[in-house]
Amino acid sequence: MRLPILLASLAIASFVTASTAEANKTHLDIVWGGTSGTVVFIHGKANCSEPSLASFSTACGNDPRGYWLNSTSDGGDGHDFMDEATIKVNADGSLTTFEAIAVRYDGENQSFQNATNDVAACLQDLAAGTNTSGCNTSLIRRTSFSVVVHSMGGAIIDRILSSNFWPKLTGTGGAILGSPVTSAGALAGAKSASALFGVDGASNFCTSFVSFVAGWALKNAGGQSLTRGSVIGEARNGLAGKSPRWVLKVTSTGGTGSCNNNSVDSIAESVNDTPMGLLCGCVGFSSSDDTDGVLWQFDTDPTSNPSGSNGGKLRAEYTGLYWHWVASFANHSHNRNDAYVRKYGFQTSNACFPISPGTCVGQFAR
Amino acid sequence: MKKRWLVAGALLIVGALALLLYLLGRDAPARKPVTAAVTPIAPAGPPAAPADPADDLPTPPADQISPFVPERPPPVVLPPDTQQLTGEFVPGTTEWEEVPLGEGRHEVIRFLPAHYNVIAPQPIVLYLEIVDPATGKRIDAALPRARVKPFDAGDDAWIEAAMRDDGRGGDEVAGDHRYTASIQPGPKLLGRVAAEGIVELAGAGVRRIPQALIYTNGPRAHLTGRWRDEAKDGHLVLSPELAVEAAGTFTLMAQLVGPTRQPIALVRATEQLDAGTHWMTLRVWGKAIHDAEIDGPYEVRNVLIRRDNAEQGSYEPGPTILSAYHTRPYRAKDFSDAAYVEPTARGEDIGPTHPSQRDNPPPLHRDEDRPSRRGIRP
Repeated sequence: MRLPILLASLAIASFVTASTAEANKTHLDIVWGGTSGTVVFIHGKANCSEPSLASFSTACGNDPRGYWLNSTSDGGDGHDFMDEATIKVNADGSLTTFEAIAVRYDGENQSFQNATNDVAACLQDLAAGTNTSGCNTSLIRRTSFSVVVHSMGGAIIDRILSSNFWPKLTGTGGAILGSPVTSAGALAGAKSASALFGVDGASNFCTSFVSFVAGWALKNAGGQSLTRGSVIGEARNGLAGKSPRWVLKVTSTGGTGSCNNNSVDSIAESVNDTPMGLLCGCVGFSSSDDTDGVLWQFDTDPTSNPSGSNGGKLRAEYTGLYWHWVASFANHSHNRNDAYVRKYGFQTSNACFPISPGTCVGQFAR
Repeated sequence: MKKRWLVAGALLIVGALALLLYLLGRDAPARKPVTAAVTPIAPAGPPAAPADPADDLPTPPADQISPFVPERPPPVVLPPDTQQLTGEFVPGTTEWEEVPLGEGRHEVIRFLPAHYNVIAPQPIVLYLEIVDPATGKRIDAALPRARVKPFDAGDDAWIEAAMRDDGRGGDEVAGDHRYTASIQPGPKLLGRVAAEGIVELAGAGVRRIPQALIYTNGPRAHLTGRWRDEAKDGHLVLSPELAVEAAGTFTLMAQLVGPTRQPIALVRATEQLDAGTHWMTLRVWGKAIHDAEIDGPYEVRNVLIRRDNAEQGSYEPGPTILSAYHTRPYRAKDFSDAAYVEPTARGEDIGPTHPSQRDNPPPLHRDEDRPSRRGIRP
């Protein structure tokens, strides 16, 4: 990943965009071909819409798959989550491929609720072969597709599923198939996200750590909309946490210390995990419940499974169906097939490897 | 003559090489035709790390690099309009935001809107307090401030207000260190609202804490208080009467609990209604009650009516009714234990290979360039 560059750019971008509220155009692109169906990928909190804008995230790169790519520039091997999640190795060695479509939206200059409107409108255009939203200029039509999301994309797909505002996507015969996969999805707000909201006014507030995460500055609508009070309020009104179909969650393994990978900090790009863990301690929230949902680095795990099965945590507002599917050592920043795949991740016919969750998506999500 | 010997020698060497290759190759299996290879399958195992002298990364936990087959969730047995309830929650509220006062400080700043759903012309009321977690007591927060703005507006849209602890202007108790701001924002704030609490303390600097709420005109519809209930087709059907001031799409959400407030189910219904008085229908899927094994009478609680503007992805909620209705004394076994079966109503499937899509732009990347192909192990 391009984490250091990303954070630096976010720090600048957040400053530049702090006083603006202009959301930018949504895009839709076919990234990889495939013959067995379509998977739509919705990225996390970033503005991947207009490369010419200051708020454009370098994580998005110059390629619609950029957000999902493990960049070679900082030690990655060029794999991307999008590719890995759309290829399946069959028992006879043959391959099944799925088409990968990327939706790029503005998750910085608007609340996740408004970003949801943009994404949902784009998905409806994809389902109908129209271009009402402006994202589907090629009039691509896919009447059915699966959905894989990362980070803030979790809040977006959860709102689409919970609200029933878009029955053409989620109702009977709707375009979205099966169980969406949320990789480190921000399904509920976090206390620590809220804590970081105030860092700009603090002279000594966790300064040694905050300097590292300056790019987190939550002084924009996208960040603030994902804080705890905001998301829980929406959940209690029925607009979140009410998915009537299973959402397959790729969660982090949790734990204290680094908040999300038990203080093991020397796995390539995750060297920043220890500072992140110290930050969690600094802001006073070290349990996974409290750190879940922080943007960028932390997984979110606030949801309950009915009957408390499969490791679900109870939040009464989350009456929907959220399945703790894969617990990945990869953290929020890295589980887009990241550093680990170089040594440990690969596609195989009869299993997957949690450290590279894309292998699990490709083999078992459909 | 010398040239002949050279030619003969070369032929001899070629012949020897050919013989050697034949002898080496005759025990090898016949080569398969070059087609889509079907490779014998071996159980997956942890892959060997490629040799990379520059790569001194530690080995991750074994469970992360061991073959793994994720467990699939169980079948869905309830329809979208009925969900299992594990505890009551109150629509129109949210949680305290809590952040530490600062580095090396154990006190916590807390910030909460009195209501998440604020229906105009009611004021937006915000609470702020600093709490010592060790004692649970609130402490002096000097003169905190609060401000609000439309969520997606710029910084120039903030409306700021002082917070007070004098028992006036919406503050409930003077001197209790719970500070209150009461803001009458007017129509320009209608919609989602971002709020911020601001504390400035000597030695701690400026601290900000976020919150959110909805400022709304309300659904322009209300429940009249009249309800009906019946067991029908194995399910419990609840029918509240709704008075609608202006036509629209309305979502009704309610929680069904047992006689001692045991949580049973969350139910929802969405209907388009014209102005006038209507009976809405809330169906509680029978299996939710049957499996809960809780006999009635049931109480309908935490009822919220919303006017939905689905095109804009927004909504206008009304006030929450904490206790709306008590049903007749049904028994749990009066209801069906049948699982919900989702209808399969799909039209023609149009995908990338459909003739209508032949003019689609090609994928941005060629299939043979997929990085994962390099790492495939059957």
